[in-house]
Amino acid sequence: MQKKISIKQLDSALNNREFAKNLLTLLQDIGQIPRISEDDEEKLLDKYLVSAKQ
Amino acid sequence: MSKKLPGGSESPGFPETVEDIKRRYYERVLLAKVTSGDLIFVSGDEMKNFFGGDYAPERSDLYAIASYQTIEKLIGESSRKELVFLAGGPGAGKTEIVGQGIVDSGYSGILYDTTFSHLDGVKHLINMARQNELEVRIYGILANLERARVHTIIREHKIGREVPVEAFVRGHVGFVETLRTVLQDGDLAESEVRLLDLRMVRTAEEAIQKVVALGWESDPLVVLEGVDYNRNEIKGKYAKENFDKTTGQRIK
Repeated sequence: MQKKISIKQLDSALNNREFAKNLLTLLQDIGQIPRISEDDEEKLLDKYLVSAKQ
Repeated sequence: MSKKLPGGSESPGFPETVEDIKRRYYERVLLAKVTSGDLIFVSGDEMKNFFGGDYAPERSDLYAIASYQTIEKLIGESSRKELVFLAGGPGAGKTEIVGQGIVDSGYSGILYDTTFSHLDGVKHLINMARQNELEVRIYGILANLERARVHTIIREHKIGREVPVEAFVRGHVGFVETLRTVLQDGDLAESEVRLLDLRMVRTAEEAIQKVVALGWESDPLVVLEGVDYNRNEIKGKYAKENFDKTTGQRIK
């Protein structure tokens, strides 16, 4: 069962790779940012969201 | 969207009235969430999906009213003490980005997906929430209008949900004006607002930087006071006929 969180924990819960990926996907789909390869996307995510991956 | 938002679907047979939408959606979708303690997600668009894709623009107000009155009921009657507004104009990505993130997070309060564009209605809900001792937070997206319009055009091509230019203007301009006003009037504190400003994002790196630690605007009121939308200008610039209806590319 998924752990339930409160409103106070939402900010940190959204500061993660999945959220960033969803944002990247949408912005690429609507042409706001250029498309990048999955490898480049992972490298960028590693650069900024290392702690979330560890 | 990476996963389906909660809601399910019902066989065709579009509801006739606001009362019908509210009653059927509450009984078939929300009641189980209320009882189980899971996230209660209320969205006019999710209601349209549930009733088999009832996307006709002339029926959109039925769902907007039904979702609004459903939130009123939940604020007044539910034992939940947390209310999150997902706010932003059509095509801003509030549902796909922030909404999906909140659904995935395990948050178990009330989540209301709205353009946040009707000042009186928003003020009424915030006041109701205060009176019922709910904690309130707003997650809003300030979109790049050109790209938000492309998003609505592509989405219409894929699933048939049309956003007339009047609704596009009302949603985006109304969101900024309403959020700015409730902050200026003190209905909301800045600490209760998380604003994701995507207007100038041009690269993947800039997008990711928006997500990490301080990606939310630390002074949303200053940002909103710097937005100067002109309704007539937006209405002319983002008319549907200015875009290819299949690709969303601007053609004039």
